[in-house]
Amino acid sequence: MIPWVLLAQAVHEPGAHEGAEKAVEGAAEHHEGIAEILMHHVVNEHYGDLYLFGLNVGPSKHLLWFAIAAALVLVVVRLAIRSYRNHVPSGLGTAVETLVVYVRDEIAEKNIGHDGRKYVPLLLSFFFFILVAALLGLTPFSSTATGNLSVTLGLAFVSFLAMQWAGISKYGFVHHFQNMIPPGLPLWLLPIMIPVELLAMFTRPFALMIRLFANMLAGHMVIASLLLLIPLMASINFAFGVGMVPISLVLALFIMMLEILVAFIQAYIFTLLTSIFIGMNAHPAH
Amino acid sequence: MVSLLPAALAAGGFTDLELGLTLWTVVLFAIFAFVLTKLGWKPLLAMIEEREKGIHDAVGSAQKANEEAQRLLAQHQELIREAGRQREEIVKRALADAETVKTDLIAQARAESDRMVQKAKEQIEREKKLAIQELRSSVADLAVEAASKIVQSSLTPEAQKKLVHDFIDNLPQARG
Repeated sequence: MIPWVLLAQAVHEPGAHEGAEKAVEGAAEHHEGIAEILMHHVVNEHYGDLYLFGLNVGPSKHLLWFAIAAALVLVVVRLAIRSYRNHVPSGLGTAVETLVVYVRDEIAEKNIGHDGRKYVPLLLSFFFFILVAALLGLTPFSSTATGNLSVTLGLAFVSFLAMQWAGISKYGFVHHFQNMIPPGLPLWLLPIMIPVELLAMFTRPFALMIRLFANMLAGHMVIASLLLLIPLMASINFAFGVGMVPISLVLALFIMMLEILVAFIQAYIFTLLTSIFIGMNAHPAH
Repeated sequence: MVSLLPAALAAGGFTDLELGLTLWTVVLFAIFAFVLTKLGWKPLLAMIEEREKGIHDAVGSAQKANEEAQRLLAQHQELIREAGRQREEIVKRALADAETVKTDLIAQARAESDRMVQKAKEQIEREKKLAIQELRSSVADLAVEAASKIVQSSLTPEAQKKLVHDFIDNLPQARG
């Protein structure tokens, strides 16, 4: 995940061991280099350009890791299914089943109701994709596709479609939008309520998009920053850099552990909120 | 240090939207979710549900079997109680029967003995009467004979007979 080659270059860049006057200048130079490394780490990188309707759909780093995460989920789920003997799972299947049953009973069933069953596959796809993408992003030389705003926009859009579909498939197109206005509302409030509800309709997936993106990005930024403190300190004084190594490693390791937790939490939150919003549209008269 | 963030943002930051990637995301995720549903979630959920149904059924049938056993146990206990009641009744009836038989037999025996005593008394009476009759006639004859011997000479046969008859008539009457 960290471009170690660049990190090494940053450490060995000339100017690090020179005089105190030059060290300040060197440090200033380093800041540019470190910022680039940081950005390189989290920002998408295009391998080629291909334009479709004016959109660049060429292969890129995050697209590649998106596909890898999706493929990994498929493999994991197929392996889980293969571990079933006489309807009882073992090993990986047990872990997958625990999460599947949790999503089905605690997320879908509780927030959508009994007709939540038909949204379970979609919610499971969200949950496992976000989880695997985040965990995959923690492995070396990889990248987190869900740490890209364009990717989370796509996921939130799918979630948005599911929310609207929940209302439209149950009540019809017109009735679904009428449901957004609470019953018994005074007529003079309509000019306020309609824009508010329309806004709410879009802020929900918007919040999903920002939350997932920010969480995925933040952990990587913090880990990268902690590790980049080493060359930064080394650019002031070599001994500082050496002294920084254990501190940075311990803190980075701690954040890494936290990121594993965050991976589960974000997968859970995204799935939970999607199911809550689906439930709100499927049962509007609360 | 201050230059870090603005520089980062200026460098083509992470908040830039690439709608091409968004399009990819929507399309790929749709395909991913579809394929995963067909190949993954449907069979997986089916297996889980089947197992849950199996457990549910097993628990249900165990409960049913338990209820059946309880019912049978109650039935058997009732049968045993019923058998006990019947036994008691039978014993009671037998005792009562025996009691009646006993009293009957005793009464019968008493009646029989009474009857036999009565018969014996009657027979004794009859024998007594017969004996008295016999005795009377023997006594008459003897008296006649004795008297005839005594008064053979002095009495005529008529006077003699009259005497005898008077004598007999004056004999005390036989009892009964």
